[in-house]
Amino acid sequence: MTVSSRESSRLPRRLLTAFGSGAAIGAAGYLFGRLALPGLIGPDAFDGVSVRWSDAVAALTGVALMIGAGAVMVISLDPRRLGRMYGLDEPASAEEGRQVRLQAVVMGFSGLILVLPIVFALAGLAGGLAMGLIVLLFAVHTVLNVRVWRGVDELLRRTTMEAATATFFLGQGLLFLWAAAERLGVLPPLTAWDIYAVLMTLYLMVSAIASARRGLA
Amino acid sequence: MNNRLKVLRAERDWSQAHLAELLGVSRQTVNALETGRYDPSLPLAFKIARVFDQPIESIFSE
Repeated sequence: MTVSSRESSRLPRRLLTAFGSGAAIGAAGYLFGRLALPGLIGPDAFDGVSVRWSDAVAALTGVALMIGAGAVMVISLDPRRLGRMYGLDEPASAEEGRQVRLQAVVMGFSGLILVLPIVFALAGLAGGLAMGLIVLLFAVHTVLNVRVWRGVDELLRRTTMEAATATFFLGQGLLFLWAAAERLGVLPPLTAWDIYAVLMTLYLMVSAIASARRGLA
Repeated sequence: MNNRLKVLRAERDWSQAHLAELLGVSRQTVNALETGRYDPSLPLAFKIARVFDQPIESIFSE
């Protein structure tokens, strides 16, 4: 009996369900914020608060990353469940659980540092102090990322590289089209934050698909 | 690409953990190989061939 990689590379239903559920919860949250929240905290509560579309995108992606990290962390505490998630023939070992928890911490950290600039800006935190904190957290995040990279084998490394490659081509394509439209005066200019928020969201979606296709999600 | 990894492992009554240890990879990688979700690098394919003492082309085929 042989197994074929072509037959097994379809997107799992679990990921489609997760995307669908996330979209439904996001839509419900948007409707709540748009329709019900002004009635609860007052229609003028958001006056003077400057929130760009990219803030909403970054916040959504950041929260999704933190929720995902929390879910992985909970699953990692149950060796049988973790083993089932990865399709292993036995429960996950303590070392496998530890490695997954480190990956969950990095994922949650990615979400946190994506949300913090918005939170700091809305809270009116002094620019220098806020930026110092963000640089510090970014340094910690980078160290954790390197530790994950050094602790995994070729499967996860190749999955990461595939996600990065796909994100680059999709991202540069989108950026080129927007830049051309901007140069022609058809679309408004973007900020670095706008580009970064879209890039991270794109990377999250692409890496979720790449991981699911390899049986890692 | 097709592979016979699961059959070869079953014939030797090895667990995924044992094969992963012999290959120096994670059990997730062994599972991904066995379910056809991942095609190994050339060095790993050679290692698999050595572990099962078979030529690569008898384990992997197009």
